[in-house]
Amino acid sequence: MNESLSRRHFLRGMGACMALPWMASLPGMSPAGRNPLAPSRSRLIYFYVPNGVHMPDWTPSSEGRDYEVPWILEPMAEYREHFSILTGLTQDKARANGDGPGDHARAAAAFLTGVQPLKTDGQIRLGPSADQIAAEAIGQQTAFPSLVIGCEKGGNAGQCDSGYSCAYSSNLSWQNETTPALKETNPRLVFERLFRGGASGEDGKARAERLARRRSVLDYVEDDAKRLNRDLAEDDRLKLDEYLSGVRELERRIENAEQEIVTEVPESARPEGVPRDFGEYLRLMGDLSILALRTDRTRVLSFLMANEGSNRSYPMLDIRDGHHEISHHKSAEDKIAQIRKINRFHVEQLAHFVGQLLETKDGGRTLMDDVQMVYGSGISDGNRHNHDDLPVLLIGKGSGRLKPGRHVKYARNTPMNNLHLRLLDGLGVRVDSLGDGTGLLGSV
Amino acid sequence: MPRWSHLRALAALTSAAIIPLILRPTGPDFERDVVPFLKKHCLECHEGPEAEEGFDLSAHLDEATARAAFDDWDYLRERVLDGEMPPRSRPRPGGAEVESFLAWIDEAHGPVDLRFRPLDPGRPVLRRLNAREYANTVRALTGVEFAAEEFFPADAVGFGFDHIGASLSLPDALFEKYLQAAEQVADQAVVRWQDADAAPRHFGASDLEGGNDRNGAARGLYTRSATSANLHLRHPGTYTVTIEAYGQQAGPEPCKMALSINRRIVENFVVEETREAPGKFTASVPLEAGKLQLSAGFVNDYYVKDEGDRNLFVQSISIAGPSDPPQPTAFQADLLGRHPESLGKKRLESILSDLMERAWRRPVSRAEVKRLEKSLPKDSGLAAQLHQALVTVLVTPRFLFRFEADEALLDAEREQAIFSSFAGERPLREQVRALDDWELATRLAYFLTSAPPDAILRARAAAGHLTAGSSDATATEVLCAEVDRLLQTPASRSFVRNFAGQWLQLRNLDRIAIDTERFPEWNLALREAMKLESYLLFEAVLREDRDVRELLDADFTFLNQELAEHYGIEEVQGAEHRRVSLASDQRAGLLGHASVLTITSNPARTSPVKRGKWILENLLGAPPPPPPADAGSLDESKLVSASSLREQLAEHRARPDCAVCHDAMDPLGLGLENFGPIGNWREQDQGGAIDSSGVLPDGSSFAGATELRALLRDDPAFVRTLSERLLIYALGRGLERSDRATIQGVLAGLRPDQPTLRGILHGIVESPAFRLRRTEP
Repeated sequence: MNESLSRRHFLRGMGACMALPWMASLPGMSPAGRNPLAPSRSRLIYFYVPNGVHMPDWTPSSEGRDYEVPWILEPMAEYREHFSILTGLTQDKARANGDGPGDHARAAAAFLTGVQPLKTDGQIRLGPSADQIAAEAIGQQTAFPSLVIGCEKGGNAGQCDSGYSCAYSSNLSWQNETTPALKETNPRLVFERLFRGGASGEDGKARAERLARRRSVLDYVEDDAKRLNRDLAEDDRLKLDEYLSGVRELERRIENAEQEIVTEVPESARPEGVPRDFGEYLRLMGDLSILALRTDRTRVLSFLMANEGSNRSYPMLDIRDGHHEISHHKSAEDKIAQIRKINRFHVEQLAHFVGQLLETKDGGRTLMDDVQMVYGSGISDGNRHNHDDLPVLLIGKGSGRLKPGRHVKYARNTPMNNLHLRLLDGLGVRVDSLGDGTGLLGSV
Repeated sequence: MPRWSHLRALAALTSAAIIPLILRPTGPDFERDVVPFLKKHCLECHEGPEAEEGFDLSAHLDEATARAAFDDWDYLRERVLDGEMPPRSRPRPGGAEVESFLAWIDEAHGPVDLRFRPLDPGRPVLRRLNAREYANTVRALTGVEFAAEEFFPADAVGFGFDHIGASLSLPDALFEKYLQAAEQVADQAVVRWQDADAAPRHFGASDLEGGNDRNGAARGLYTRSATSANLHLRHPGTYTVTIEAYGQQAGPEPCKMALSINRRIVENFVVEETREAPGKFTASVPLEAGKLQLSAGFVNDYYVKDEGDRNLFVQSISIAGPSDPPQPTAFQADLLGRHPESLGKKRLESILSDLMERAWRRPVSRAEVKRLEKSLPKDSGLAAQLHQALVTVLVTPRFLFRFEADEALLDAEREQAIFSSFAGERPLREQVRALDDWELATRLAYFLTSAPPDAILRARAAAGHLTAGSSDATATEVLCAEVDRLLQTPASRSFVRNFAGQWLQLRNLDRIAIDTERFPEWNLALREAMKLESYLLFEAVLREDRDVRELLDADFTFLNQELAEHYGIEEVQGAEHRRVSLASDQRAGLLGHASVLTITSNPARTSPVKRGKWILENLLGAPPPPPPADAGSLDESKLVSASSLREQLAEHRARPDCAVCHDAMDPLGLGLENFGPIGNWREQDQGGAIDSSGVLPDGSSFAGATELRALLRDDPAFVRTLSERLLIYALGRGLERSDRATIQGVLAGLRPDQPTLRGILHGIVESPAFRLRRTEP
C-alpha cells in the first residue's frame, strides 16, 4: 500500500485518543536504549486557542478535587487526575491600557510575554516569551531549543487587528523584543526539519560530509557579516544582528549534531502536506509534536491552534460562520451553542494530545510525569474581550512539582506571568523578571 | 526641465491634500472647526510666553493671522495628522473633530510649499528578500525553481505589504532554513559528477542485510522474505542491477524472486538455477538520488513435510551506472563556458567573481573573491567547489538582504549634479547621499519585477547611465525608459500580482471562509477566476495607459465561462479569461468584481461595514480609526432582511461616537448591497427589496452602486491613495511626513484629465525618495 495513503487513511479513521502505530516501535524508547524520560528531562508545553471560551461552560462551580466537569471540558474528563483548572489568572498587558482597541492582537502578544505590544503598523516591539526564555536556558541540551507550531499561516494582506502588526496575532513565541520565533505550519516541513536535518535520505558518510561543508559555509558568512556590520547604522545593524544570531545558533546545532544519536523515525511518518480537514491538521501537528518530545528533539513546545482573532469556520461541526464573528454572540442562544461546540472541539484535540503524553511509557514513567503544560487563551470571554479570569488548564506532573487534579481559584488580577515564572522555576530557570510577573504562582 | 525644480501650477489632482472629498462636511469654518479645537486640545500647553517648545498658538485664534502663517499651520497639520499632537497622555480628539480641523487647514493653506521644506528622501531599513523575491532571485541566478513560499514561513506584513524592511524579521530558525534552501538549490543547479561515481558497487553476502547468512557465501531465504543492499546514490539515472542467486527447488514450480527498490517491486525473475550453477539476473532501472534499498525477495515459499522445501539463496547484489551520466546543468555549462579552461589557475577565481557579482547585484573586489575561494574545499574538483560556492553565496548577507550603503559611492561631482537637479531653490537636508547605479538598478528591478536586475539593466548600471545619463538621454529619461522596458517583460507580472494582490487585498481570497451550503457554486476555480479578473483589469489599465480611474468604472472586464455565469453574463465560453465589453454598468470597475465583494463579506452574509471600511482604507486612504472600546459589534445575524440591516445600522449611527465613522462607512457599504456575499447580484435579500441609495458626509447622494462609483472616481483622494500605496511598495517602508512632498510631486506630474499608472511610476522613480537615501536613522 502506498505509505502516504495508508497514513491518511489511518488518520481519518482515528479515534480521539489513539497514537500513531509507528510510534510504539520507535528506537530510543526501549528500556535498553538511552532513556529520554529520565526525571531531569522536564518539558514545557504551551497550547493556545484564540477568541476565548464560553466561560459558563468552562469554569466548575466548586473548587478542589471533587468539582463537576463542565461541558466544554468533558473530553478531558478521563484525564482529570492529570490536570488542574486554574481560575482567576489575568493578563493585564492584553488590556488596552490606553492603547484603544486591538484585544485580539494583544491577547496573543501578551499571553507568554506579559508585555504591552507597541501599537504601530510596520514595526513591532514586544519582549521575549516564557517559552523562548526556557529554550534559551535549557534548549542547549537538545537538538532544537524549541519547537513552535501553528495551524494557521501568518497574516496575508492588510492589517490584522485595529492597527496592530499581524505579527502579534499570529505569534506566541518571541526570541526578543523584535523577533518572533519561526512558526512552522507545514507538517511535512516539521518532519523534515526535526528528523531529517532538512535533507532527505542520506547515509552517515553523506551526513558527515554535509555537516563539514555547512561548517565551512558558516565560518565564511559569519566573517562576512561581521565585516559588513562594522559599517552599518543602528537600524540596519539590528537586522544583521538577527542574521548573526541565526548563524551562531546553527553553529551550535552542528556541534551537537556530531555527538547526537540519529534517531530513526520511519519514512511512513512523513506527512505529505497540510490536511484539508482542520481537525486532521491539528491532530497531525499534535502527533508530530509528540514525536519530537518522545525522541527528545526538543523539550520546549508552543502550539498555536489558530491565530488570535481567527475567523475560520468549522464545517465539520456544521458551523458555517467564522469563529471570531460567532464569538461576539451578544448572548444569542444559537451563537453560544456554536461557540461552545468550537471550544469543546479544541478540547477534544487537546485530549487526543494528552492521551499520547500518557501512553508514552518508559520504565514506569510517562511523558506526562515530566511535563508542565498550559492550555489556554489570552481572552476570557470572546464576547466581552476581557483579559481577567482567563481560561487556563495546567497539565502534567512536572517531575513531581505539580499537583494536578484540582480546580484552583486565584485572587482577582493574579498575573498570568506568575504561572510562567512558576513553570520556569520548575525547569530550574531563574529569571529576575518576566513582563508584569510579581512572583511564583502558588497552589499549583 | 526636471519636475522637481519648481512648484507647478496646481492641478486638480493635488488640490485635495488629505481628506477625501466625500468625507468633507460642508465647507470648513474657522470659528466652528478650528477655534474650539485649539482651545480644547492645544492651548493648555501652547499659550503665552511659556508655551511648550515656544509654540504659542493663542495668536492664531484670529483667522487672518492663521491664514497668513503657512509654516506654523503646515507644521500643526502634520503633527495632528500623525497623531503626535495632542500627546498620547492627553484625551484624544474625536475623528470628526480632527477631520474638520484638518479640512480647514487644507482649504486655507493648500499643499506643502517645497521652498520651506528641506528635501528628505527618507531611509528604508535593510530589507531581507521576502519569499517571492527569494524564489525569483534564485531563478534568475541559477534557473532553479524553488518553492520558497511553501518552504519559508509567511512574511510579516507592514503598511499593507509583505516586503517592508522594518517588518521582516529573521528568526534563528529562518537562517537554518536559508541554508537548507541553499543546499537544495545548489543540488539542482550543480551536478557534482566525478569519474569515480561510475564505478560499480558490489554487495556480497556478508554486506547484505536480511535472510540467513550462509558462511558469507549466500543469504538464505527460507520464508517469504528478502535480503537487501542499502546504499546512498549520488546521482539519479538509469542503473543496471545484477543479482546472483540460485534456488533449492521443490514443488510444482521453480523459485521466484522479486527485485524491489525501496520496498516497491520493479521486476520479477524465475530462478531455475541451482547451487551448482547459480544464475545472474539483471534489470535496468531508473533511480532517484538519495537513500536506496535494493532487495531481492523470495515470493513463492513452499514447504510440505517429507515432500519438499523450496528456498532461495542470494549471493550478491550489484549496481552499475548510470548508463546516462548526468550532464552539467545549463547554469553550470554557461558559467564554465564563459570562463574556459584556458584561464588555468585563474579559472576558479574568474567563475566566483562572476557568480558573486550576479548574486550580490554589484561589483565585488578581488579580495572578496579570494576570501570565498579560500573557504572552498581543495582538490575536490571544480563541480564540488562550484556547488559549495553557490551554497555559501546563497546564504551571504549581501544575497539575502538588499544592501544600500551609508557612505558615498558616487564621485562628488556626479552626486552634486543629481542633488541640484532636485533641489533647485529647495534646501537639501544634511546626511543625504545619492544611490549609485547598482543600488538604483536593484531598487528598480525589485520594484517592477520582484526580481534582481536583468542583463540589460546591469549593462546600464555598469555604464553609469542610471546616474549620469547616456549619450542621448538624461539620467531621469534613462530611468523612465527602463520602467517602460521592464513593464514589457513577463517578469512585470510580479508587480501586478504583488502590488494589486496586496493593495486590494485580493490575496485574502485564498483564506476566505464561505458557507458552501448556501453557495454550492463556490469552488477553487471560481475563486481563482475572481482573482484573475481583477488582476487582468489592473494589468489592462497599466499596459494600455488608461486613466487609472477606470479601475473604478471600466466598461470592460475579463471573464471566463464560470465567472460570467456567476455574473449572469451570457456567451462567454471556456475556462480562459477573455476581454468582455460590459453591456450594463452593473459590473463596471473593481467594486463590481466578485473578488473585492467577497473578501469584504462574512462567510454567509454581506457586511456593509466591512465594505465601507475597505473603500475608505484602500481607495480613499482614510482608514476609519478603530471603534471605541465599548462599541461592540453589530449583530448581523439577528437581521432577517436587508431593510432591517439598514435600520439597525441607522440606529447604531444615532450614537455620536459611532456616527463619526459609520456615517461614511455604512452608506458606502449599503450602496453595494445589491451584491451578495460572493459578489452575486441580487434584487432582494431574504424577501426584502434592497435599497442601495445613500447620502455621504459631504451631502452628496447616490441612488445605487453606479452613482456611488462615479462619486468615488471623481474624488481626488483615489489617485492620491493609489500613488501613496505605490510609493510604499516602491520604497519598502512606511511613508513619513517628508514623503508628502514626493506624493505632491508625483501628482503634479500627472495629466489631470488622464492620470495613468505609468505616470505615477515615472513620478516615483524620478523622485528624490527613490534616488537618494538618508544616511542616518
